Amino acid sequence: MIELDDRLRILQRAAREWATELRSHALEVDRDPDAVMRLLDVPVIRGSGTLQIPPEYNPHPLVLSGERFYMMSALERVVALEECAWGDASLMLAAPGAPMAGIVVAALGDEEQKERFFGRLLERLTWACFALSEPARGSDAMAMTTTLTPATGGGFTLNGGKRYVGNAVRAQLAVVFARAGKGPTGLKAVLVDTSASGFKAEPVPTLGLRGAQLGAITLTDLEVSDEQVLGRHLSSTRAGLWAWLRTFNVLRPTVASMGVGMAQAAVDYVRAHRRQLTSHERDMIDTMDRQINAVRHLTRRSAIAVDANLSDGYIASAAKVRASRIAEDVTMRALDFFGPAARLEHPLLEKLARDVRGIEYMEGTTNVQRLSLFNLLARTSNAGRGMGSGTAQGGRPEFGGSSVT
Amino acid sequence: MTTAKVPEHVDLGGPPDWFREAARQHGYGGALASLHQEAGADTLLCGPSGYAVASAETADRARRWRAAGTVADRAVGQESRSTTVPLQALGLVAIRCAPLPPASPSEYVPWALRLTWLRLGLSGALLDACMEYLGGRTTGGEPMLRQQLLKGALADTVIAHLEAETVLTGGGATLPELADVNCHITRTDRELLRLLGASGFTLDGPGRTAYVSEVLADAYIGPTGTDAYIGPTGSGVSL
Repeated sequence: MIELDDRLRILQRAAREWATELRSHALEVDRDPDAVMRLLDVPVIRGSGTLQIPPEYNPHPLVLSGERFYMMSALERVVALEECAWGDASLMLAAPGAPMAGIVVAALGDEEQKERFFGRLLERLTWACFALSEPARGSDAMAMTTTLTPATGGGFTLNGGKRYVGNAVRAQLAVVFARAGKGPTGLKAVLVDTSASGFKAEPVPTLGLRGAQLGAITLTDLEVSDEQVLGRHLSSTRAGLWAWLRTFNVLRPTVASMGVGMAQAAVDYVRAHRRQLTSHERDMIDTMDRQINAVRHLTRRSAIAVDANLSDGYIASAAKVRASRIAEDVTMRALDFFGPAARLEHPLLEKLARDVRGIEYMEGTTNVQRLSLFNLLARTSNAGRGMGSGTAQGGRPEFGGSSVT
Repeated sequence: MTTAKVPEHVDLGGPPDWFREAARQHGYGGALASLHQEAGADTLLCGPSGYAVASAETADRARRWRAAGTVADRAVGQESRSTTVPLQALGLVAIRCAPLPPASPSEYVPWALRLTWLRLGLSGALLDACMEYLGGRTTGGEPMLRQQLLKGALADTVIAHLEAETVLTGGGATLPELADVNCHITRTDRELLRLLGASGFTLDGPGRTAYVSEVLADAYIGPTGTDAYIGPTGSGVSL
């Protein structure tokens, strides 16, 4: 088991207060995802816009009880986001900032790109989206068809389509993944201003996590300068797939922590709203608590592993699989505690049961993670040598997002 | 309000498994309307919680409600409406027309059976959607349907459907058995949705069918092992 130190407990306590605020707006944002625009003065919403910025670019980090938090480590993210997801994952994902795009920029951007990107986040409330998945191809990197082609007279032209991109319609900035050549080294990420000609985003209404307002992006002859290409100062190997897979390793524990937070929210809801519990029911609740706790600690362990070594994403894969499963199971079982019509009479629980399904699709589906874990097994087992494939994550080069295998 | 005891044996029209094919081929709309239609002309069929789930059109037209063993004129002023964001977006309403009905499980079985066939049909439609979706996709240059992980998951669905079909066929299933089948259908649907990626999470995709199916099970069947209706206040009431 992995217990938090005093510093992280400070962060956890603060996040619990944020969660209460998020919870109070949860149903409103579920009904109307644009409601987040009316909530920008809520401290946790406003504050999220400048969280998760690296220390060298952030002179005003979050300070709690004298401790400074930049939220760049996976463990800090896991601790805070579990609590926030307990409050409302949907609204948390709707908040301004660059929780995903910022990691890519921090990993691949040069000094000028980082200063420009993070400077913009600090200057005014900004959403930055992360455009990877494509229609009918999900996040299969090798099947990606969005192209970045050299333009006559310099620079590049971006063409293609993206789908299931969180905050796509709200975003002022976007990190867009595209293919500039063949193979893993031909994959590039570019930083795009969404007001540029050739960028169009439309909402894709979803059943859950509606605040995140997934969107479809169309890129038509969008002009990209050399300065917008991330990783241009790195070797093609370091700027390619290898570097990106490491980036996704940071995100998986975070997604897992959201599943843990939502599962815990469902159990706590049962405790708060079922006054008369049989001893059998109390045992069932205790069992769910224990199961969630096991995944919570697996998630923390995965965050610690990733913080120690960005390539060490295997535990994160396991944590994400378990969190997705436990969140779905627990929210369904929680509904059962309220008998027939629970979905009609317990809106928050009904919403949780919808929202948790989103965990499955973020940062690689369960089957993607299972294949990665198998490939690790194949490489480390005498019997399995030669059976796995050999990317940084072990499996077919796939980032996560919405693919199904 | 007029209330009448319903005869114990009611002619419910066509065979219950008609609902399966209707739902599989045409979605929940027509099958759900037919379910209400079989409850009587301009009548809303209510589940054990007193709720009816119907299209707004069916609800507006209905003048009576029917629950296990009871039919009555609607008293709109005494009804309560509930909704969820997806239900509202899909043009469906949930109305609690009936007070908690008296326990008469035997009279409710035919309705629960029809509803379960309907849900099995929707689950079949979801399987069809998965096959179509996966059949059109490749990964690493290989058709997705050649992947053993996916083959296994899809075969599990076939097994679940066969088991459900067996319990439902020939009559004799009790309400607890039907609740078990419905629970199994819900779990099966959730597994299928995982195969659809984010396309199963959109409001206009196959996920909406699975969502409506879950709500129907919730309103008309309830969870396995439930012997009480527990309202929003958290206090249980025996059915």
